[in-house]
Amino acid sequence: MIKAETHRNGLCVVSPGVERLTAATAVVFKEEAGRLIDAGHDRLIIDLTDVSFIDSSGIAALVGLLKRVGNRGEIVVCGLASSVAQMFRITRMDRVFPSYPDSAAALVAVEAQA
Amino acid sequence: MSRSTFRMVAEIDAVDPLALALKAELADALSPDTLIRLEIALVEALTNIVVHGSAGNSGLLIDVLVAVDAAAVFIEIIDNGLPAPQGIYEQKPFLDEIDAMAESGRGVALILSCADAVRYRSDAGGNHLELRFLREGAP
Repeated sequence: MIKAETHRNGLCVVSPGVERLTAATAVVFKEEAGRLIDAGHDRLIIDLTDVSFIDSSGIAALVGLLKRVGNRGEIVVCGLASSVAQMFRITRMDRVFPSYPDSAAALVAVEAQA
Repeated sequence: MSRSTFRMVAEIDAVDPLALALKAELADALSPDTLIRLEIALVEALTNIVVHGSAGNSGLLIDVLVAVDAAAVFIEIIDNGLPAPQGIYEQKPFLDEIDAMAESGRGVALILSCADAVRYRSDAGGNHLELRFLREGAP
């Protein structure tokens, strides 16, 4: 399901591999992304470019991954469609996850913080 | 007033197809932002019924009635599963009070925040969740 592009220093760009991150898909996404964290990739860029809709289950999956990373890493998002950005605003996730226009911008920003 | 009806079996994989079909039907009736709010509220409501209301009843059916007039889009979601906890749709939206790191509990608050009006009743005829979304320019 997910597509992962690994970089140095534990950095990984993860695409959910689904158009809709909802109750039907969020559990598998969280499990697969969680395995990346367990493997030592504790700096994740979640690329939501191909995600057109996210519900509270999708939000919960992202929050769960953030808690799994804890203080040893970080999770940022990129490529938010307008509907996804609106959901982030409504749920205040825009205050929890730094957001970037695309994965290239996110990579520059996250690597600069290393 | 135009009316249409959608029906789904209370299974999690049926939520997104119904939401997409309904969104396509209403694409010209609502502004893009309102359509997003409608989709959020609808998906949360349907998911709640599947997850909490079906009680393992794989045959439970959910009907979604849609009515459009000059002022608003009306959505009525009807099911015969377990009713929602009493009073849950009468509280004020409390999204701001939910712990940002919570991994559950946002569904009802999202419905209350996204719809312009919400009404819920449960009686012998089933559980009815009514949502209203104002159209652009409506008073």
